[in-house]
Amino acid sequence: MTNEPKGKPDGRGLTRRGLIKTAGAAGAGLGLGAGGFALGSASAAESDDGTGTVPFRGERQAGVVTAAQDRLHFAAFDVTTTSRAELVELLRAWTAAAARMTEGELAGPRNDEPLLPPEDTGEALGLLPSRLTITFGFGPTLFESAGAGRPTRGAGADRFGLSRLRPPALRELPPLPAEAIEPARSGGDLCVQACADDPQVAFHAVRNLARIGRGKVVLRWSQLGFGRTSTTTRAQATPRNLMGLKDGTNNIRAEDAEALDEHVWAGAEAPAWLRGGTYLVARRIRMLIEVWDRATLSDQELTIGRAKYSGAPLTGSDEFDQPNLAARGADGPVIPRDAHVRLAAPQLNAGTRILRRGYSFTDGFDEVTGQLDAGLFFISFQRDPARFEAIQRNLGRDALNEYVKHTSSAVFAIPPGTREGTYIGQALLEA
Amino acid sequence: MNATISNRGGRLATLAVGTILFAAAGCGGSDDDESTAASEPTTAETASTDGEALAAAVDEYAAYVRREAAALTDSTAEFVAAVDAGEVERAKEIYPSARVHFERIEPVASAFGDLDPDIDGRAGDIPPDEWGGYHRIEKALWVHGSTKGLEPITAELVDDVGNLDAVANREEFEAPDIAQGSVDLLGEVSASKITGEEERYSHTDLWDFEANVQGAEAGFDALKPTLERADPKLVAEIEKQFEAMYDLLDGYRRGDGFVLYDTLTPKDTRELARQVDALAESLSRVPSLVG
Ligand code: HEM
Repeated sequence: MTNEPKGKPDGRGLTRRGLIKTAGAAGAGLGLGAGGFALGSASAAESDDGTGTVPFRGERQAGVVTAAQDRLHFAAFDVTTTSRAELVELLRAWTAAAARMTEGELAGPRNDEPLLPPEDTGEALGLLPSRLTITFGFGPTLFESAGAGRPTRGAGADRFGLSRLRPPALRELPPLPAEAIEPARSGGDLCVQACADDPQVAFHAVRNLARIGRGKVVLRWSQLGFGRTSTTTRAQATPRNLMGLKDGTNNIRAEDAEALDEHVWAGAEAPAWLRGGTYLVARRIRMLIEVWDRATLSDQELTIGRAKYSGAPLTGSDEFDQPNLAARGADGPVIPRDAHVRLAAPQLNAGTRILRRGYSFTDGFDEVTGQLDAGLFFISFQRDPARFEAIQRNLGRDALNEYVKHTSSAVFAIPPGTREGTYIGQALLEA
Repeated sequence: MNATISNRGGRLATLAVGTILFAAAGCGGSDDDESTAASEPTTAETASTDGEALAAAVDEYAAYVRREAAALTDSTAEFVAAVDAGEVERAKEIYPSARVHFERIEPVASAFGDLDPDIDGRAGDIPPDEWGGYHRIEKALWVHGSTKGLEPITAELVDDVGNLDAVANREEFEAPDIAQGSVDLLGEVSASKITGEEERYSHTDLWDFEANVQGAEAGFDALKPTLERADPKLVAEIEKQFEAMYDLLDGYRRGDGFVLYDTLTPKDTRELARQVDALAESLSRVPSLVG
């Protein structure tokens, strides 16, 4: 529905999509009409010419099972206002702006007032919608008096009266193996995950949401991702992460409805406002790429348990052959005991699976080591963050740990989607 | 069992390499804990064929590992005695030099089950109730200034070090594993010494740093006669890089040891890190030449 062309969305006829509006609409046969729900966002237009849009409205939020776009701008915010009414106002404004921007529109109506700043910052003018998705989430600290480690801003014990609605599963992760967490890059009251095939479109989304939020929220940290490291639909080709490995082969896909229900979407165990939503775990994982680069080919393959070039498991020949964890060679298991795909496999994790949707990042240069500050901004979606936690504990013996270090950690509840006229988190704030 | 000194137990055995075994009982190891393989003329240098040279390299490196393991047994006993006697200051003094024997042969420990995490595991990488070994004691000494309640931990440590010594005396090595072990030792430096995470309470990272470099050098020295034949230019390059590495480290020596790591500036650590990278990059060419 929402990716159908609008007549004059801003009353002025100026849209980002401009001339390509019709082209964008051509691939948008899935709309169900105003007020209805689109059927999951994965099936949205997947054109790679930049004209495709992904509906913002729907039963679920977009950006989870949506075919992973190429770029990411992730931002975590702290709420500074202590007024619940202002928080609601913010979420309404964010919802409206997100709905517009994902359609390729400006964040707000254009103004031509010489003495007013423009409503939209402008850097996405003339750019294509680029399958932008904007996904909102609520951090554990939103349900507390004030965020962890921050001074209380005069609010009472429960600043927004939300603590009774906080799901027990929503909490910061405890200390886990292979990490050196930097608090300044971790946590947050709210999150915005903006994904698009054009980096400037993703940036524009976060920037304008931050601007709309000024006075009510402040940016706590943000992360750019320059290349996807996962596949979330069957049609997508598997990309490579910065270790040069195919990543996403054994991921949960949009088409795996059963696996999504079992492992990703929150069910009856969650409070009503979150049911049908999920939890996002974000971990900035620094790769020691200089060390990795001098590991032998054989060592690299044994570390992960898959062949470097084909991506096939060491027990198979095709990328999509299932790893055979029981296979033994002369010196023990063919996929070593400390191989990443063994320790992360459902068979070693009580059947648990997660949906991975991470991005490669680089933040330039590490001033302590003089090395490239780069890695994988790991994002996963699961029906309980404890599932991520259990897998990460199991990865304590992972051979990969020699080459990686988790430097941030954040957990957010991702509420279900919105329909026309509702705002994100409405069921939480009006419960 | 087909052992390997790389940190992937048994992995490199999957490569097609000539397996060179050594008779563990045959080579008399000295207990001289200061000797590195570099200091003595070796059998490897006089061997005439590649096969003999590799066999001699394996012998020589195995002897090095046994020497270091024996020295670790002794130094750990001394350290543990101080801890058990409640002599905090003395234990702190012995701590960094007791550990160097471990750091020189760490890939051997990594290849066998949980020896590495048990002896050398760091807070956070191991569930708190299972955490023992050197770093657990380090924290008690530097953070709490106390040795209270450490008896089970020190007893475990002595056991684990004894197991490592047994492994060192029993296991067989292969030439590519030795080369890979050298590269892995420098990987250890890049991953945890450069950042000061290894010795986060005592800040004695430079002792470990040098020991890792020495361990890597021992492997390289053992393989050198073979490498001289295969690629003399590479040998010259690696030697140059080792020299530059030691030159840099020399700048931080104080007395018998080093300055504390938290006195280094980012510029210092950057310089050290880049030299490790330059050295390790050239060493990473070695495994394929001896396999
Ligand atoms: C920088 C860090 C990481 C890298 C480079 C990495 C890389 C890979 C690669 C190359 C694969 C094989 C291809 C595939 O199935 O996608 C894989 C699989 C997997 N990884 Fe990771 N990964 C990293 C971190 C993590 C973390 C932190 C977790 C979760 C705690 C995780 C969970 C998984 C799972 C569940 C699989 C699929 C296993 C299977 O069912 O076969 N990974 N990873």
